[in-house]
Amino acid sequence: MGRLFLDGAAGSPVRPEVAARMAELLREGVGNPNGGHAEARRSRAILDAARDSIAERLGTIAPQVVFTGTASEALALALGSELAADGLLVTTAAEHRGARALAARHAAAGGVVRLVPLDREGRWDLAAADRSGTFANLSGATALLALASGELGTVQPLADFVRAWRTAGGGAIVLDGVQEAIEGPLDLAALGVEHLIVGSAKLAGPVGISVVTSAPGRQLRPIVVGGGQERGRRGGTEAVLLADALALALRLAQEEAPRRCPAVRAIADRFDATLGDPLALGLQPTGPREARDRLCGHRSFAAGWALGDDLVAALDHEGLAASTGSACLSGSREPSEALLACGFDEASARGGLRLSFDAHHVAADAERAAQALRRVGERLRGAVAAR
Amino acid sequence: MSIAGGPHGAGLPEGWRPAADPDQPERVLVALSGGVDSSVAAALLVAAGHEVIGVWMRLHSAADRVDGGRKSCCTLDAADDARRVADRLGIPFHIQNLEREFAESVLDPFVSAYLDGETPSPCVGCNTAVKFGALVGKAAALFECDAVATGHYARRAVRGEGESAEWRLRAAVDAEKDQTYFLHGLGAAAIARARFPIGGLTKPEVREIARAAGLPTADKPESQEICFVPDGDYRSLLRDRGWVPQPGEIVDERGEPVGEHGGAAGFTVGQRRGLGLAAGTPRYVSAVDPRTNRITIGRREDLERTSIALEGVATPAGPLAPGTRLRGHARIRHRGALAEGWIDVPPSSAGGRAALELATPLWAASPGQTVVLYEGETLAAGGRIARPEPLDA
Repeated sequence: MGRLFLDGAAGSPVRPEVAARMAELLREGVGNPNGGHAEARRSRAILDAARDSIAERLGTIAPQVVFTGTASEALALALGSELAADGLLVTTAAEHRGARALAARHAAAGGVVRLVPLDREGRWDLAAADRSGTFANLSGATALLALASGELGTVQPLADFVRAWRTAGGGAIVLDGVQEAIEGPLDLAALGVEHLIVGSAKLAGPVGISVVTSAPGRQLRPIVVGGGQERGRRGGTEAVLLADALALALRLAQEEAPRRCPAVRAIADRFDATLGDPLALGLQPTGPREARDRLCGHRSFAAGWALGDDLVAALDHEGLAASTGSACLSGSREPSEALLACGFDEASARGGLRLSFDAHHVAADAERAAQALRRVGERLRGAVAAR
Repeated sequence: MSIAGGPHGAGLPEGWRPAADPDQPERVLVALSGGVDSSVAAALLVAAGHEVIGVWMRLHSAADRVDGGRKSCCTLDAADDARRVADRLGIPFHIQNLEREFAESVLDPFVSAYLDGETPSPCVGCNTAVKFGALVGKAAALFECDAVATGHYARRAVRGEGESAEWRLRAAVDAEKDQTYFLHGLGAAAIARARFPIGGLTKPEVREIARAAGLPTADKPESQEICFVPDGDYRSLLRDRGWVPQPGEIVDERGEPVGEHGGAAGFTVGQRRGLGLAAGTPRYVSAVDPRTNRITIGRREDLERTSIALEGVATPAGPLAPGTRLRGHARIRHRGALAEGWIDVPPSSAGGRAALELATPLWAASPGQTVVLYEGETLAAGGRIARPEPLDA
């Protein structure tokens, strides 16, 4: 039996159309778009077209689209452009590690960080935030938020947040749209945020390219200075091949989204049906109960009796690629901040597991995943009980 | 150091035979440290057709350090080396977090031993409770592996068949590298599941195999330090764990004060440096008493012992029965001198308390230190050096 990849939330396999287009560009020759010759002009035209396409899809103008290497870099670029060293940062414990690290660095440097509380399902608890003073004295404050949590699958009530934020006089909102971009339209203007970040890998495009899109008029302060590339906002030769791939992956994802989501939900439902009651296996479901509040193919659990890394390793042995959802390279025992903020105890917060189903899966994959998880769960729990 | 008459080349005792690893392919978990020995252990298992799963054990917070290429054994760089070896061999690789188990069975006892004036053997606890304890459990639960391999220089011996078989460790072919001393705490069940693929090789042979296989760790230097004390300064670890050094008396063998020390837990039996005494005949720490915060020193010959009280004495099959006498060659430190003698378990013994009687003296026996007794090439029993009297007496 072959491998079953269930970690699309960390990066989906590159879709064939994108791979084919990349191969075609490589064969035809694509290179440095900066130069006074036909070859550079050809690459420049490809880059411009990618930028135009992304601007149109994400609701801004082409000059406000800046390519970066990764989403972490894009978050750092946007946040660093808005947040003063002594400024107030509003964020949450459910953010991507790149964003959590930016918040930690800001706090360590003497800046103020406020966390929006989460409810049990990982949703921003705006009423609790209001009570605890999150929205008090927001003048000049910056918000750093993910529209959907990659770890918990929770799609956030952004419109409610934006309303409360604007009423309280908050400043720029930097929105991480990485997990949400594959689910449906993302329009910066309609969302009412200043910066929107989208990455290629979660769109079944190649790793190594992301984008900051900004509302007209917002300025970005470069982290890397260089020869004026990206209008002086990110130095270094533009990765034309990757930018083109991101534009194509985004277009295909958004065109397919209305069909994709119901299909992927059906696969995930099949997984649920085969798995049976997760609590009977000692797995507490994490994230939203209701499908409409959750990323389509997302399933996540917390096991209080095993480390998430151990569940992932045992599933890998069964041929399944899963994730803890808060991956840490060095295998630390640190509990997930997001699960702690949702009110899970420390043991459960160390036992996070995430499976993401995608459009390329079929019902048999969902059944196999559920059976493998049952087997692994029973084996590991049995071993714990035997100790 | 003389090893004549010791386990090396002495042959197996009556009835024992070498325990060969199974010919049939089996699924083996191999603990990769990022060093050359465990790399070659994995390579040999792969070459023999076994299904091999590589793991690197994260044992303590040193794992978060990147050591800039200095190549200590337990940092992220070591984990990276282990991963590269696994990749080269085409085997799965996982980081296994055993921090809690390591803290409970190695780190905490290490600290309390020093605070009690003893000399701990952390590698023994790590092998017994972590590598051939918790890791074996994880191997079975996560990967359905029955066998666990390491890059230790050791072999196995067996007597009898099937369910009633008895197991012992057997000294490695390379006498200079033999690590059975550190493995003595393994019980029969653990030895039966253990695989030591390099136990029949010399270090140069291991390096040669690593080079031939193109393993990235082939020329990596040895790590000799205690892995969680990478700078060799265990005193700073003790201070981190709440030790507040108090100055105390240094006395000679007659009990006469001869100087002052900066904190008893910072000294070990046999230590010569750091006593701050005037030059003359070399003096060595002969006893550390944490209750009186007093250190006793003596001449080199004052630290020689032919009779040593032991505790926790056991064979792979379990504790020795009261009234047993076990003859062989004893050693009180890794690669240390061997002395002929016997372990006597008195009829009234409790807690594995026993006496080690030696024909020739061994030097600097420190309470807490590991003692092993070889019968021929096999490790027949092991334990710890006891305090002269129980602490609570």
